[in-house]
Amino acid sequence: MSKKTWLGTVVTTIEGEEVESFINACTSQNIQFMNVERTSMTSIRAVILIEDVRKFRKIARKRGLVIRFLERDGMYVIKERSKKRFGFIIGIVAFCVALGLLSQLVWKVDIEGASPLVEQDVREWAEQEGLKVGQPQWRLAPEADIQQRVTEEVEGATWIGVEKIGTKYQFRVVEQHLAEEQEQLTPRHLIANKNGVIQQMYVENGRAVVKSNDVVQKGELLVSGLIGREGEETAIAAKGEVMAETWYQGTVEAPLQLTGIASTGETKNQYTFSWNEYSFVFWGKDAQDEYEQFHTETDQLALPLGFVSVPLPIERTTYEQRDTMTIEYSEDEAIGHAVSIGKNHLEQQLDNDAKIIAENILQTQTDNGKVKLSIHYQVVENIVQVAPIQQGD
Amino acid sequence: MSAISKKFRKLISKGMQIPIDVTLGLPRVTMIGHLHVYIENHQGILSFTPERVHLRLTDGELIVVGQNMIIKAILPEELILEGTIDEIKHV
Repeated sequence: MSKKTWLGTVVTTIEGEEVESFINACTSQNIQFMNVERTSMTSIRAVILIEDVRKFRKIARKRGLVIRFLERDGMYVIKERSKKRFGFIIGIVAFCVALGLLSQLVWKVDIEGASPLVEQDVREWAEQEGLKVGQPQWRLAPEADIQQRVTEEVEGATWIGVEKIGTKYQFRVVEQHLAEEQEQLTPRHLIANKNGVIQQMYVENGRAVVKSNDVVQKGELLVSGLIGREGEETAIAAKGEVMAETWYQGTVEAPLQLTGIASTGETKNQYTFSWNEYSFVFWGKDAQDEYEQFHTETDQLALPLGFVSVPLPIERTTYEQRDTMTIEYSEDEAIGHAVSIGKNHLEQQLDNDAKIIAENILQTQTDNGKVKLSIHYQVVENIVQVAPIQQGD
Repeated sequence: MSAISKKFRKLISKGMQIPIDVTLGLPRVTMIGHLHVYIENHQGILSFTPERVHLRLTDGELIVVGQNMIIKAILPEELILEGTIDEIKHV
């Protein structure tokens, strides 16, 4: 029924004689009326299309009617309003443009699966290629090209996959693991480097001479490098692992009282404005008088803006209160500390595959505010030592 | 409309089974309850008040009596009345 009412309508009042015949005249000129109401004997109120206003006014003037236009509605209003709010429209457009532009930048470069060394290499290579945070993506080569070149140019990686996920570049590194060169072994025996009781043996090459639960002395032959029938043995490099229980004994000391300087947790900030050589404290002038003992740290404030941070000419000095503190330990606590200290010490001396299986406190002595312990440890470790076979023996 | 033309149109209407309002330009009045009246083929408004609407037709006049009536829409040949319709008279 109604044509293009969404384009724009206007409420109008018409006053004068013979309003009906005016409406008839308008309708015959294809002017559409809506919601025609009579407001008084000589006036009506109606809604017409904005595009008909010119024709409508012409007819009304010819007939000497008084017309008035009231509120408007529809697209036309939006158009008019947007003319008034030009800045707003510009804002919307600028936002869209900015969003579009920013989404075309690189926001993150991720490297996955690389050791720190190779990761550093890949990162440096990427940066040199311009592949870093804040760079426009359109300047960069397609991922396939980057992938090929990075794989060729960065050493230490077999393959590097490059993938663009939105605004992020993801590097997937597969590192080279060069096969360890088989060391050329000279013929040798394996002997014990400590006294102990054998727990477990694993012989790869050679002939085992001892067996589990044997007590061995330092220097005793464990695995022989001479194999074959008696009288015509061939010398090979013996290889294997002999786990044996060994013993250690040590003395450890732990104090009953500990004195040190520690932060109390209270801090006070002082802010200094500094520009070139000029500087003055504008906040927290009395900070250095606040505490008896303190520790200070100074850093420059910066304003983080996306991927750059703008340094401000403001320095912040943090005063941390410190205090001398004394901690008293009971004898049991001190013994506990001593035991863990002793264990740590021993673990540092031992190989990675060694295991402490038992520890026994043999003696405890307290004097001079110290606890002195004598501890015996049972350890299972590899006691193998290499002894070359002299050729011609 | 002359008498011959009228006869001819009636004949066509009968022969081709076309509704008589189309061929003769007669008004078609549709009422939806007592809320709306659709009038097609009107020839203009003669007078209009909330209680009484007087329309011209090809032959005769139409008087609609009711309360709080407004002209919902008016096009060259179509007219929609809204309000409480009490009476429609063809004179």
